[in-house]
Amino acid sequence: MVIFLLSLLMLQAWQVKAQSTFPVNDVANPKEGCYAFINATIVTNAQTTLQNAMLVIRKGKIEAVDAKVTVPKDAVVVDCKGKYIYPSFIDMYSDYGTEIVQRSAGSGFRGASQMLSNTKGAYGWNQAIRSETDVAKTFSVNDAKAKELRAIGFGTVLTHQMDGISRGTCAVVTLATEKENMVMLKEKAAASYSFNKGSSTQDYPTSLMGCIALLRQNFLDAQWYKTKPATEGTNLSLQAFLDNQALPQIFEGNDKWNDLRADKVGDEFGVQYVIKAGGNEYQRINEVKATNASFIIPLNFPQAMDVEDPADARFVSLADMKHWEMAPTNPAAFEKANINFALTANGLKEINTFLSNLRKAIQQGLSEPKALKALTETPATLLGMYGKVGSLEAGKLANFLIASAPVFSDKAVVYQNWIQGNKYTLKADGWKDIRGNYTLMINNEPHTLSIKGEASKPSAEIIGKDTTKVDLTIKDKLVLMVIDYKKDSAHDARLNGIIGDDSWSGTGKPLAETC
Amino acid sequence: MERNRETIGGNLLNWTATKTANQVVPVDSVKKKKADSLVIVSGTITYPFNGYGFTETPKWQNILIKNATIWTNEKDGILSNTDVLIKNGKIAAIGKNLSDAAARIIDGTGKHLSAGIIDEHSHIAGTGGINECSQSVTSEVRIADVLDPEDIDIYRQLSGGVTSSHILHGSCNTIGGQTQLIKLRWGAAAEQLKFANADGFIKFALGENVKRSYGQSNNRFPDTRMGVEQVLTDAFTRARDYEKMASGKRRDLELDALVEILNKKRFITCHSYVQSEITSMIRAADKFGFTVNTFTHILEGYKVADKMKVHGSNASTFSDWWSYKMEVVDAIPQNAYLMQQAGLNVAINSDDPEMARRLNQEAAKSVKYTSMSEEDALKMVTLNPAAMLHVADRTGSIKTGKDADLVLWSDNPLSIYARAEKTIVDGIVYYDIEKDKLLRAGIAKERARLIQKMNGAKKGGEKMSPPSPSYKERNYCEEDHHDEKTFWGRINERQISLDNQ
Repeated sequence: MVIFLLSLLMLQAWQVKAQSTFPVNDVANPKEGCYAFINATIVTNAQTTLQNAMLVIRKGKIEAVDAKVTVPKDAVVVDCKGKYIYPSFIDMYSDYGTEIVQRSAGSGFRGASQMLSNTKGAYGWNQAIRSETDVAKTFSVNDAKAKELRAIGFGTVLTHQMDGISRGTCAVVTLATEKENMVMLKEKAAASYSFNKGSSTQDYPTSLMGCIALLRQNFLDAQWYKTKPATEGTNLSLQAFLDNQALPQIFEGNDKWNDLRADKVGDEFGVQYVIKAGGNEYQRINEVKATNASFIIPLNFPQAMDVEDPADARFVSLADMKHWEMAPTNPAAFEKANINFALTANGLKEINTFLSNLRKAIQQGLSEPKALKALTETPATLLGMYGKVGSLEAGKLANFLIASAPVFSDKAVVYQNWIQGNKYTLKADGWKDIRGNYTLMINNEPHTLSIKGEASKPSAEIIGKDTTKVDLTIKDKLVLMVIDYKKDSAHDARLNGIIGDDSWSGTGKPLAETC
Repeated sequence: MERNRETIGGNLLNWTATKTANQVVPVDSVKKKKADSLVIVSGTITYPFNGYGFTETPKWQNILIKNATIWTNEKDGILSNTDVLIKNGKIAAIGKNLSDAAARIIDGTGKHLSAGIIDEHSHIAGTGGINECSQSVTSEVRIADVLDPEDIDIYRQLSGGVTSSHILHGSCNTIGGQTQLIKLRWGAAAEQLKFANADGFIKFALGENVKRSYGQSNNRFPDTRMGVEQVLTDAFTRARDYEKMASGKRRDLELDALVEILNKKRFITCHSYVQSEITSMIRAADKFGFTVNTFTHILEGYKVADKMKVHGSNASTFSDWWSYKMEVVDAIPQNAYLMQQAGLNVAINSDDPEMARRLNQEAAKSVKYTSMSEEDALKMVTLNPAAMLHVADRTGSIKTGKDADLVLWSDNPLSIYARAEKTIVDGIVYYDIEKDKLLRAGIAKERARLIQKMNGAKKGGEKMSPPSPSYKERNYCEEDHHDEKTFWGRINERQISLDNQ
């Protein structure tokens, strides 16, 4: 009875939610989007793994995760036997869906100075203080960028305009290619800062110490602005800076020493920043730990340099070479020092190296549960979003990955990244693991067929007196096998057919009859 | 009826395949992957993270230096065959036949021990620019915020016997930024470099740099030396008004620093060359009732030493660096001596990361050019700068109770043959000429290992990047807007140098 009432409530809730103001230039096509992923190994969070379990989603949300639930009647059933389901990752340091602002060239040392901000409107005196920036107002879904991030496992990001010293507010958005209205989960989830004046053409500040002084003075000015001083009039930048203080504060340090500098400014004004790290923090992990900050760590490990030529090698510093060797130890150093941290794909030259770099970090001592936590629960918690994303629990968004193996293992293939109940296929090949031994009957003559290799790249051979490689081509459920015995052409064959659940069938021709 | 599509032969095969066994695929975990030579990290973290770093934070130990020639900088003068005992980072005893069973013994026979060198005008160990040029008054910016404790120049200057450096804002505006006195505690983090409980200072500047009138389109006030005087008058007038304002005022960090100057809680070191502007600066200071603590550069100081004496300033100058611009054509190498004879406290500074490695020789030049005594000459880079920085109670001479900031020289420290063999800060040996040899050998070995490893990565098919030279940014007093210069322009102007350690 309780269950009945509950489902009635849910049904009603959905019926209300199904409305939208957006007119449809089509026939109405509402979808329940109910799927049941059965027989899966479900890693619901970094601590919990359910074996042979089922994940049920509906209308973009998780309806149930359990070993025992019954499959809803209207569910599309997806057999995930042998597969692993994880919550999609969260990147809390992203500029996804924003326009990259180019720094315009200033007037130069010997040119005319720009003493005040060029920003139009009732804003502050300094162009690099952009506290009023509200990324939610300019955010636009970008399928190409979303695709890159989905491909490395991300489902949700915190995005912001990476421009200026005070950068304004950041929004939590999913990477679904849907309307902005639907992917925006929280329009103001954090405020962001840096030591980089970005696109500001104003002279002040020209130095790092000027950036720090400006930030410090901005805190004081904002305090003073609370008294509504008549001599200041309306200053929307200061007002926004004050308003933004209620949010989590993220500071782009990007370097071990700048991390400490940011933390110190925060300490002066009672603010604990979440610090975006640079990757060299392992070199001073004790000082980094002493900040008591949570960190967002990039995996921007430097590439090896080609130093074969001794004349080239001369110019490369020992410190740079040491950093090349030790950079992958950075996340493990944070874990060992028991510092709270999230991981980010930001800062990678090639974004598709994210997972391979993460594996390097794991080789250097980062534990797999910690890596998962840093990509799910930690960023979600830091942003106050753990009620919606970051683990697989009923009521949360249906953001999850389906992989062939534990997701951080070398050979893991991530097949699908589902975001808000939308399926994004990353790799179709190998979804069905066809590997194993088969009895192949050709015109009632038995052969032993063995399919090996990787699930997404299988190879085949006929086991016998002369074990013979089979040229295997698979496209979706269609298969083509070319068997060429060399010594025994009587049994050569070209076979095509359809891959069934555990048995395949089709027709073929002897090889010799090739037209 | 099944349709037969064969046109030749018609020998159709029917087939089925039925799975009899699944392949057992071992679940591989990243950790189980066989460790290959590229995965093993043999490097160690050093402080700083370069070839000259310490593997562990150095700690002080008791040290007994035996039988050396001691340049005390005190009434005792130069003591021969004398011992100095260092305990808990301080000078514990000076005398003959001292003993301490717990102390590390250093044989000083034939060697000279002096107080550590103090560089009154330095721009090392700062990052992100040491000039905030955008406005004529930037007293709110602080070198303390941007110390770079890994600057190799710290180590290089230790090798020249420097134990303390006064890191200044540059000279591109009339009222520059707050300075930071540091001890060269190589390996420490920025906060630990700072000279504890030292008075705050601030950089002021006069002359061509602050007018910026060489740029036709420059619109930053002032454009003339008269204007510079007006900037000073205006700034301190604003500061006085600000100080008098009732509570609830907007706290202004720029004016806070100026109020500190008015209240003698912050002290000025002022870049200066030409006599007229030196006297102009003194007049402005007198008007507001504060003293210009130090005139730095002060190449025409010999002309106005009497006025400086009356005003109460110290002088920190170059030995014989001149004629690099019109403002300095009247410089003479007897300047330091003449100012000293006028009763001023005189220091010789570097304003240059290279020159700072041999300030002992710079001091010695006054012995060459004038009749200054050797003791007085050495004081110009030790006790005198300590006094003008208000830390002579703790460093600058060899006196019981003072910080053990010491240099053991291979020879008379004013000799060009003298080399710093051990440089000690707070009783810790931060530079040791013998250890330095080992470090260099270690660097060569570590470089070879890493180059081999990178070559291994290349053979293993890793994605490589071209060799990228490593450059070190150099800060110079007069320069700014580093990012607007071409690469070669910056090399030419020595703003960056190759640094492969």
